[in-house]
Parts: sequence; C-alpha cells; structure tokens
Amino acid sequence: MGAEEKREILLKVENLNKNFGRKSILNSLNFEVNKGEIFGIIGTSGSGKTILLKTLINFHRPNSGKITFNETNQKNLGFRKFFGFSTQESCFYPELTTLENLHHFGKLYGIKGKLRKERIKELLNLLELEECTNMPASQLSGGMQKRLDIACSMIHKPKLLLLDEPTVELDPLLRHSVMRLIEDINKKEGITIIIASHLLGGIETLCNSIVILHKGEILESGSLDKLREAYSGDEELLLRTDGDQKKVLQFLDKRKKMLGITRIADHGNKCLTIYAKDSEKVAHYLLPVLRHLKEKIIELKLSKPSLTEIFTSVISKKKRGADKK
Amino acid sequence: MKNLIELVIKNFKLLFRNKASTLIFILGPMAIVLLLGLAFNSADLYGLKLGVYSPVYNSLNNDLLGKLSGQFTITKTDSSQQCIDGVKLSDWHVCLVFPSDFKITGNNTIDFYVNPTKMNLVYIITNMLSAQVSSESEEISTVMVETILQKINAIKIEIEKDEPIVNDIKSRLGSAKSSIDKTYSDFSALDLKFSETDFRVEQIKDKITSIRQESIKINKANANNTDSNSQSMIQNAYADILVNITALDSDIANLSNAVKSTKDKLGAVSKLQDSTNSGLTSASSEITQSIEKINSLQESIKKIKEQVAVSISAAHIVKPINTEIKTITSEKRYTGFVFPLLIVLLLMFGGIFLGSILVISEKTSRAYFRNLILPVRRITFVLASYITTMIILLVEVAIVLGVAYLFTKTPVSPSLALLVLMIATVFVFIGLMVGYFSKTTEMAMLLSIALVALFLFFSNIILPIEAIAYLKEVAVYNPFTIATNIVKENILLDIGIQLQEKYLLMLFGYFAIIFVATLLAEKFSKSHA
Repeated sequence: MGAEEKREILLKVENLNKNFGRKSILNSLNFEVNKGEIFGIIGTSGSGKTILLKTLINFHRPNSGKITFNETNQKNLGFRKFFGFSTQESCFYPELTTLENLHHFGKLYGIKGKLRKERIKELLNLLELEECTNMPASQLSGGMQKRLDIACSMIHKPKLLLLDEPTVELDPLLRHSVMRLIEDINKKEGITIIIASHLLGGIETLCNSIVILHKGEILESGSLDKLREAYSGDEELLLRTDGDQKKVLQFLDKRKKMLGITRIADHGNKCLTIYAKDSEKVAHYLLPVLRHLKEKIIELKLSKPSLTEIFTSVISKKKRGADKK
Repeated sequence: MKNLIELVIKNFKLLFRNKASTLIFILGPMAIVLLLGLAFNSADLYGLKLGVYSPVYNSLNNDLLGKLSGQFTITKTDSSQQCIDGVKLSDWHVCLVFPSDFKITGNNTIDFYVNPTKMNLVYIITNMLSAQVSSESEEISTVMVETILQKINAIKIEIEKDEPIVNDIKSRLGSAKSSIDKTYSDFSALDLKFSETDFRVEQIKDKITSIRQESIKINKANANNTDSNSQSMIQNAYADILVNITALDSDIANLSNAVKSTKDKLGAVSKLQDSTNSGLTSASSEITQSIEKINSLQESIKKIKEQVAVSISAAHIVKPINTEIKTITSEKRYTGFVFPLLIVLLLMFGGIFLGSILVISEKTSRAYFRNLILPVRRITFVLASYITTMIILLVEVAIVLGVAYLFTKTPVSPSLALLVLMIATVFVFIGLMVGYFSKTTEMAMLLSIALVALFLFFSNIILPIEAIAYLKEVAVYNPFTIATNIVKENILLDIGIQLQEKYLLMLFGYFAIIFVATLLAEKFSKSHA
C-alpha cells in the first residue's frame, strides 16, 4: 500500500495465453503488478487463478504472450529466488518440525548458516510461530500451518510473494488473522504480493489492485474504486426512524428519478432500504428533509457495493452477454 | 553438492520419522532374506508328505517305503483313489501306487501321481523318489548280478580244473602219434624184395646135369680104361657121383620149394606191410586231427577263462557308468548356492521397492510443489533419491554379507562390492523410474510388483527357463538373471569382473537406458504437480 506513490511496475503480463491441449485455460491476459502492492486475482473455482500464478513463475510455460519481470530473466534458475509461492494446500514436510522445514528450504535456497538462522528468527517472529518451532508441522493447527507455509515461501526474502487461496479452509477468525498477516508482510517486508482467491471477504480491504478472472479471461481489473465504477448494480441506504415514514416515502417517490432511486423496500418496522445509483446523493437530500419532518434517525447506513457484489455483478453481466450470443 | 547432501539428509529424516516406514524400509527386505536363508540353510527338504497305496505289502515295497520314510512322511491309504484324492486335496505331495504283484520278477512298475500345478515341488519330490527307487532297484540288481557272477566263477574253476586233463590228453596223443609215425617209418623201411633167380637153382641144376653128363662120359670112357683099378675106382667114383648128384637133385628140389615158399611168405608180409602202413597213416592222421581239436579246445578254454576271468564287480555291471556330481565349489548347503540369489533378490526387491516408494512419497508429499519451484536442479532430486536408496540398500546388503561371512565364511571381495554397487544402481534406477512414472502410491506398488514378477518369471526362480527355448532367449537379457549370474560367478566360482565384461556391458547398457528414462519420467511427472 505504501507503494501507491511510486507505481514502479514489477510484473507486466501481455496477451498471455495458456492452453492444455486444445483447452484454453488463460486467454489474452493483460495486467500489471506494481512493486510493493498487494494484487488480487479473484475468480470462481476453475477460473484459472492457480494456473495463472504457476504460469507467472514459469512453472507452466505460456503458449503465447509475454511476462516481464523487473530485471529478472524468468528462465534462469536464479529466477526462482525472485518469488515465493504459497499454495492452496500447505506445502512443506509434515513430518519435519517448523524449524526443520524452514532450515531445509532455507538451505535449498542457498541461505548460509548465520543468515538463515537470523531470517528464520525474523519469520518466526513475524508469523508468530515461535511457540511451535519444535513441533512437527503435522501437529500445527490449520492457521499455523498456513503461517508456516507462508514462512517457507518467504525464507529467501522474495521480491514477489504469490499466495494461492491463502484463506481457504480457514475459519473466519483465522481468515482474518491471515489477512492481517499478509498486510503485515507487505508493510514490514515490502514484498509485493499477489493473492489469488475465490473467497472475497477481506481481499477488498487488502488489495490495491484486483483482476476478476473468469474462465481464463480478465473481466475487470484495476483498483476497487475503479471496479465500483464499472459496477452496474445499486448502492444501498438503510434508514430506520422512530416516526411515521409515510412522508419520507412520499418525498422519495416524488424525487425518484432525480435521485436515481431504483427501488424502495419498506420492511414495515419503520425501516426502509433505498436502492439508488448514488446512495450518498440520496442521503444528502434526505437528511434535511428528515430534520424538517422532525423524524428521529435511529439508524442510517450507507453501503457501497462490496467486492462480492461487484464480482457477482461482473460475472452475471458476462454470463448474460454470453447467453445473448 | 550441498543441496544434494541436504536432500539426502531430509530423505533420511522423513524415513526415520515414520516408524512404520522405517520398519518396512529397513527390516522388510532383510526379513525376506532371513526367511529365505532359514528355508534354504540345509541340504535337506522337510515336511514332504507321501501317500502310498499297495494292495499287498511285501518285503520289497516295505523295504522301499522304509528308505523313503527317512525323507518323507508316509501315509498308507486304503485305495489308490484315496491316495490320488489326497494329492488333489494337498494332503500329501505325491501318491505312490504299487501294483498287486509287486516283486522283482513280476510287475514292478510303481505309479507316481503328482499335482502338476505345484511344478517346482513336483520336480523336487519326483527326483527324490526316483533316486530312492533307483537306489532300491540297484540294490536288487546287485544281488542278482552277484549270484550270476558266482556261477560264472564256479564255471571258471571247473574249466581251470579240466584244463590239465585236456593238456595231458593232448600230450599223450602227441606221443602216440610219434610212436605210430616211427613204427610206420620203421615198417616202411623193411625190404621185402625177393628174387628166385638170386638162388641160381636152374644154373645149379644145369651144372649138376652137366656134371652128370660129364660123369657119364667119364664112365663111358672108363669102360675103355685098361686099368681096372683105375677103372674100378673110376666106376666107384662114378657111382658115388651119381648118388650125390641124385641127392643133390633132391636137395635142389627142396631148395626150390623152399625158395618158392619163402617167396610166397614174403609176398604175404609185403601185403601186410602195405595194409599196416595204411592203418598207421590213418591213425596218425586221426591223432593229428584230434590234437588240432584239442588245440582248438584249449584255445576255447583259454578264451573262456579270459572271458570269465574279468575281475568285474556286481556294482559295475549294475551301474557300469557312475556319475558323481562334483561341484566346482566347496559349498555344501543350499544357503551357499542360494546366497548370491538372495543378495540379488535383496538388491532387486530393495532397489525397486525402496526407489519407487521414496519417489512416490516425495511426489505425493505436500512439499512436492515447493521442491519443483526451488532453485535446485531436478537431477539433484533424482540423485538424492538414488543416494538415499543406495545407502539403505547397501546397509542392508552389508548386514546380510556380514551375517553370511559369520556363518558361511563367504568372502566379500572388492569386485563383489563393485558388482553389488552396479546391480543396486540398476535396480534403484528402475525403482526411481517406476516412482516417477506413477501418479499414485498404488500405481507405483503395482508397477513395482509387476516388474519384479516379470523379472522373476523370466529367470530360473519360477520356471526352469533355461530349458525353454524361446524364453531362454529373453531370459538372457533379464537384468535379474544377469545380476544373479555375475554374483554367482563372483561368489561361488571366484570369477573376477575382468572376465564378466559381457554381463557388465549389459548392465551398463541397462543403467544408461534406465537413467535416461528416469530423467524423462521425472520431467514428465512435473506436469502432474
């Protein structure tokens, strides 16, 4: 997040195509990842997120297109030190302890003894794994295993960390904890992070940029605000008062068109939900009216479209388009 | 190199963390070898059962069964069918059915009923039974031949006893012939020629006649004699002469008769001489022929003596050609012969199974993908798996060789160590290849089992394949067969590796092919991660 000012491109993907046999998995993908940002790739299961991540690190060779990394030749063995990869399922040896796993992968990344020890200490501290250093990895909780997996991915201080479904199969608390951790890693280590996930909760607050991937195609990309601009659905305004809402409803009915209100839902318990293109504009007009009517506001809640809503909208729009064709 | 060492250490950590896998990895192959070793650590076979049926038990079949009871557990059955059914039901391995008139001079065919599905056992048992039955037959034959030899010996003694008599007859006949020949010769020499004229009887008569005529003349002349005295005297003389002449005539007549008589007698003697000579000649000829026959008889006796005089034992006649299988090694126990096989079995089982399990464990490990994106060359992982498997395998082999050295004093030469290393390398790479080709542990196990079964099938372990024409051709190229042969040659025959160039080249060829295949399989396996 701290890299917003600089906008130095770390990774550039141009017209990337990947097929398995005749099946097209990734289709003409174009996007850029800036140095120091958290980049989100969201999509349904089977949309090609994991294959995209693996293609980015040259594990799968693209059929066409170009992937450009900042100052790094993707085909060199040294390129593998450039990135860290944490897969959906934790990727370490369950039989080895936390410390053994970190030492093992540290050694294979060519990190020398003292440096390795220091790095492991840093990671144990950062990922809050100190208490389970000598526990076999198999005996760690799900959250701890995810932390260890991320630690293994970061042992060599990669410039780019790819996280594939980092919160899948975690309970909400652990999910939140992992999200906080990713944010910490980004801030404290300055590592650029690419997260691929179909669980959108938390991604919107975490990612600077997001691409919506669907069946190997990028449907939308950009910052959350930019995505919201592209969002075709309504914003919501929830209003709960203690008086008669008939006059409020009359006011809104008369100005529906002007305020861009598409629908008003009366929940019957002095609670209304107003659906409009711009909920802020509605609130702006509504508040003086409520004061004039001496209605006591119990609850007023503006809600912008969530990433889930944007995602659902984008996918639905795509599906509708596909159905029309 | 550091990466390689780290990967090997990691492999061992993973192996030893899981006690079950440690047991399987380390003790499994050794347990197999131990069991096989115990099973073959004797020149005898135990627990073989024999079903027997005989309508009548006599000394001959009881004697045979007595001998067989040393090696077999014998069960006598009540019928031949029960005996045969026992083989079908695996109550016993072989059924022996004796004929009702089982005796030397009668029907002496014993029927063996075997279960051909248990081929190896059948071969062993029938061989053992045949050996025992042959041994019994041999003993019986020996007794019979000894009797014949005794009779021949008696004949020989009799002939030797009669031989001087024949010689004596021959000698006597020789003497008789000599006498006859001499008699013939003497008799023939007798001169029986007789001539009447030799007696000059007629001349004497003529002279007497002449004397008479002269006397008459004288007497006539005397008549004119004037002298009476002289005349008288002449007359007297004349008378005397006439008397003498008359007497002389009578004597001459007698002489003439005597000559004639003598002539007749000599004529008769001459005839007798002729007939005697003819008889003597005939007798001499007969004696000559008899002597010749006696000579012939003597020759025959001599030949018979020579024939029967051959100092041959009954055992030689019964078994004129003796086969004694002399091994080119001093090893007596099956373990000694089976030991090279055990080593190669251990290398094959261990190499293929350990190699494939290690690779498939790595491939199915949660860390597999991370390994693929590490800045470490893929061949390092292959070599790490190879080294790990080799270390385990070589430790196992070292233990087996050590135990073998303690109990059988089987030497461990540097060339054997080199061979073990080469063979282990080939089988370990086969295991690694199987592991990399497989997608699951089950597939790896099935492939390993299939390969091991294939190698065993095309060797002498299951079938006597060296005797089967087409399979033999294939078996020659079986790495298990090659490995067994070179280790056997090295341990049992003490043949150095410099003489095993062909086998070593074949092994090296296998290694090269499998190494490339392993690398390809490893590359291919990455796409499944």
